[in-house]
Amino acid sequence: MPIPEIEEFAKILVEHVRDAAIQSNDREMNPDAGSPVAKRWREVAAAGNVEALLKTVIPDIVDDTVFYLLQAIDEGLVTLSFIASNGKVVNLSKEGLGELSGWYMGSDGWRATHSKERLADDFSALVE
Amino acid sequence: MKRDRFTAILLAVAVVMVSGAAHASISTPALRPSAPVPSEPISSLAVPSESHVADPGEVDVFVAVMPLGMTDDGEYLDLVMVVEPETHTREWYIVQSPLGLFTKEGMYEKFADMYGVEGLGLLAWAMSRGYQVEKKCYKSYDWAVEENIIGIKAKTRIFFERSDKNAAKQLMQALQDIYEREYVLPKIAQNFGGESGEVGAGYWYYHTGRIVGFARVSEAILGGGAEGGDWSGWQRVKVGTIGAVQTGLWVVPAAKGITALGAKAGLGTLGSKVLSKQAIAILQKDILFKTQLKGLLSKYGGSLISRSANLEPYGGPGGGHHVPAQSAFAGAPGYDAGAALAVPRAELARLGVRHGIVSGAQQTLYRAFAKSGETLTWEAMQSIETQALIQGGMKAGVARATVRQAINALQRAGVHGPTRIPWGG
Repeated sequence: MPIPEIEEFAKILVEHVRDAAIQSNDREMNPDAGSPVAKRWREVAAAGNVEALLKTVIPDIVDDTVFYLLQAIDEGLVTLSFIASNGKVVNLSKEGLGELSGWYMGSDGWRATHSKERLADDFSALVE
Repeated sequence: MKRDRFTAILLAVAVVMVSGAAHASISTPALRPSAPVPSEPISSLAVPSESHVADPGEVDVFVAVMPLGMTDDGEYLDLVMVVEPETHTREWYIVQSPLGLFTKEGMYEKFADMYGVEGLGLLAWAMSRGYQVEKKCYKSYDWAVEENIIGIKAKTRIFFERSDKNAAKQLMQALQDIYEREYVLPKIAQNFGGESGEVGAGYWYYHTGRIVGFARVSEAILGGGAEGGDWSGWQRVKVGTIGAVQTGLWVVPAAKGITALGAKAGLGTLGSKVLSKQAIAILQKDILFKTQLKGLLSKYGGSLISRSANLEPYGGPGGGHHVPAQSAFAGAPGYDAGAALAVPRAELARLGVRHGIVSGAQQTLYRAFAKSGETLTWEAMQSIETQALIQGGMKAGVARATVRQAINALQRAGVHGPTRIPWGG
């Protein structure tokens, strides 16, 4: 059994990351959902191709889950520090300015910069 | 001709009721011994089968009116006696009350005329909560709210005031009462329960007796602060002022040309706060409003204010999405990230907003703005934050109202403006 502090972390992780992500993605199945993700899912689902649907929803769900982890850090629910390769310790909640989740999701953010996997950019049209 | 005769009677009744005289001189076509319309003879009163009146032209009549009451069908009836003075011929009629008895249709039409789209919005809001309007026969008061029935007194016998216009006024009073009980007071209660303490108390303290269980209200006014300490007179004035301003924000008018609280008479502006597509949809289903509402909506166009999303301090249990982005105010005097308003997680879910998309849109838009080299202003933030919420799935009107409310709260807290561009590097 982990120590109580780790259990506390586990509880936050499950509630605010795992469960939040599942709830968020469940809402996208609502026929009235208006986000670009929901619209994309509906469009692909209407074509009836299961493989295409999975290829569409998997990165969206993964991104949403990572988003909720970063959001938990941004909100201060989880205070994490990162030890960089140069040995510097960075308090992600404090020095991240509450912008980590935005950096991850944004059009020219971390996903676009570092990911080698497929990515749906839902924001490029905003700044065209 | 029958109609003219009946009209003459009604005019006479009206004159009597208004003037208090028992005698009226009216110009009328000949009163002929025929059955008035609508009327029913009353056998028990020995209604004369034959009666006659003078020649056409100027005719003097005496009129007496007695209320008979309301039928099972809700129809109000009067007993009307008309006396021809020279011959003393009497005629008795039972008529549908001629004394300005309002109709629901007429009342709604007048209500729309008097209170416009804001009033209709308030009415729609009440309807959306299950209220119905009914004519009632009250003795002691003009209107009453009974369960989900808004009862409007059907008529009075004294001052001829049961017109559609009067009924519309009573309806508005009833709606104001409902609005205060079901929206304003709970909102005040929320304020009292928050960390910000007793904001609002100064303005609303006289409602203390109506807010059950809020002893802190009187404490706030009489000297006990949120933390139990004594408040100075200046503090109480400040709290009162904030409360008044806050109240003003709740009732900020929506229609074009109405720019300040009180610019429209009475509390007709209250409805602006509660206008929503749902409410409008309900109104549109009501046949009584179809034509008028269409015209009003066209007249006021896009100026309708949607209801803001529910905003709570970010530091509360709801967390959620900061509006605007907190990093814009790093080091700003007066800015408290915990006290700043946010759309709680539950509210985002209720509104079907995908939080990740909102944050991504914020980052994208602020990054683009930073590249423009322009200075970030409140106006620019309003635009960016609104776009971000819409991108996440929030309805445009709600998004605009939400961001506006959040920025207003920051300004009231003394924040002069952003200190940096979020995600601006």
